[in-house]
Amino acid sequence: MIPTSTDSQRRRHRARGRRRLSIGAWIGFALAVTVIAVAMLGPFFAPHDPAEFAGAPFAPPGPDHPLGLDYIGRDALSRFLWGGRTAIVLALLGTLLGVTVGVTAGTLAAYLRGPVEGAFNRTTEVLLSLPGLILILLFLGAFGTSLTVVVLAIGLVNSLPVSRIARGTALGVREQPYVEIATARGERRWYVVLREMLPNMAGPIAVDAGLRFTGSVIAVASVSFLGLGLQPPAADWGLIISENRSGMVLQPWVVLLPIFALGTLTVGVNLFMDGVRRRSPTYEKTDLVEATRV
Amino acid sequence: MLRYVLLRTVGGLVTLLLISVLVFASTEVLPGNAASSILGREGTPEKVKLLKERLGLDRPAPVRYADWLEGAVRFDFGESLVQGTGLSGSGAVTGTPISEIVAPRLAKTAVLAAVTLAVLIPLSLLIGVATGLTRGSIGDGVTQVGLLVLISLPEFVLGAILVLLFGLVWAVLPAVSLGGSATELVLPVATIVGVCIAFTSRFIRSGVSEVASSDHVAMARMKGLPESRVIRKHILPNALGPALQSFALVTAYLAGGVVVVEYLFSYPGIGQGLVAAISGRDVPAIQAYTLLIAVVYVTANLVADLITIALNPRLRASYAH
Repeated sequence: MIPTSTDSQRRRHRARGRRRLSIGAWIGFALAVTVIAVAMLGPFFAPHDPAEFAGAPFAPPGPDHPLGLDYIGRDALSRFLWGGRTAIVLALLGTLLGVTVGVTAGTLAAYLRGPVEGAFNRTTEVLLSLPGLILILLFLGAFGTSLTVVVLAIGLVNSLPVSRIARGTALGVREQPYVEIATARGERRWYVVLREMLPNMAGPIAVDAGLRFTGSVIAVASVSFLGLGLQPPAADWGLIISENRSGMVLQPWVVLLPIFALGTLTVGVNLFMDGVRRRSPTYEKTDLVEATRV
Repeated sequence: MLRYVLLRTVGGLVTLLLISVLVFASTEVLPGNAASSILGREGTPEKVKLLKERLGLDRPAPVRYADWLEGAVRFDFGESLVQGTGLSGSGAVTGTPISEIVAPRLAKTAVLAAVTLAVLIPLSLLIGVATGLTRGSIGDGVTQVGLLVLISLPEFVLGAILVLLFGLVWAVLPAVSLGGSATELVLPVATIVGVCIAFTSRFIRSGVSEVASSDHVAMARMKGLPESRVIRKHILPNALGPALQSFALVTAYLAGGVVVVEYLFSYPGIGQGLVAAISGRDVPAIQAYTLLIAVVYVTANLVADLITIALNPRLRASYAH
């Protein structure tokens, strides 16, 4: 019987830390999922066209427009309902890109070791020496402010922490007997990596991917807020907050819902992550992960 | 120990050097940018080529990089491509020197950072020590939840909430800050403090609770010392270490975090400058702001690292080899 990474080993990897999540964590999860649902399904419920001019700027809530109108007279509620989708989709793309690149780079570095690993370490170290948002802004400054660049930049910034986790996990998995035996069997390198190593790394990477995704949503919103991402007349929560902020005090409803949505998303995710980390026996009381900071 | 400090500092300088390469390479990868953005609509291919020669943009990249770096160290980042551009009498293209644009903004951001730290430090010590001593109590629990909420919110969301609260609900403060008088700093500072307080007070809280349950504090209490004395003489000094660490890390965060806050409140600092430079495609300005932010970020992280090592004799020993 040639041992490969058996089901029992995989089950054991996953079974570690199986204690129940606190109620706070589940509340957080529910909040986050609700916001994402609103973002994706919102457009189906919008009463008006988000780009249609319906009246005077900053008009207060009325019978036809429950939240009033925005800074150039468009329905605030409709714009809110449309405003989450693009950010979610872009964030999803950015996260997928980041996770793919990160896992590939990290796993290869761990598996090949030597100069490859060294180069990998140097590069990630330098790139991580800049705040995430600044790196994204540098990209936008260098390559223009198109949405493609935004997705690529977010992908790059995401790939860095992912690649570190991937490398760490891969280094651990690499020492396992089933890897050694597969190599001794004469299996090709890609087989070893793909079939023996990766499935056993999935856990921590999946959890981190959730964080990366939320961070990416915030990154898209932040960049749009700064006027460097989605452009008018697009509806995006970050952009809505930005373009209506001069009249915030007059007509708060326009910005209130996007603020509430973004805030609930981030708080929910952080509650969940806090609950998840509490279960781990290595929970560092000082280790406050600002889960959604890019 | 000293060897480690030197090694780490040199490492930091190398990192900064590599970052400068990154900044330069990414912004100059499309060299047509500079020339065509000056000429704008009047840029025919011949004119752009001529301007490139005049500006020295046709020299090989490493030469241009060395030139730029040498200037950067002297705080001379060249001239703006957007502000004050025109042709001088001798036909040379001029623009407002970047250092003239950046210096006042740097000062403004420094003021913002200083005031933020001045508020953050006592506040986090207060909350950190209080929650550290009452760890596990209801008050501590409630505070922790509140802090978690604060730190989760993106900066501009928290800032907007504060504007609504203090601009609308209590109609007290101006929503836009021009950095002129003290009241106009209030909202930006409050926003950043709100975001960071959870981080710093948690750090301090854990340091305090560790000490509070230690043997020599128990000894002091058994000797019958009044609690205030125990706090002052035994607990607080040990809270200073983690406190310093967290403040260094906050300074690092400030380097990047000011961008969104300054933009939200139209505060004329380097954060807002960077955003304007990007929308205006003012390449030299982008390079300058990014490099400055990187310097602050790397230095602050370095200081935080060194403080950590200084506090942790165990780590010190392992680096002694």
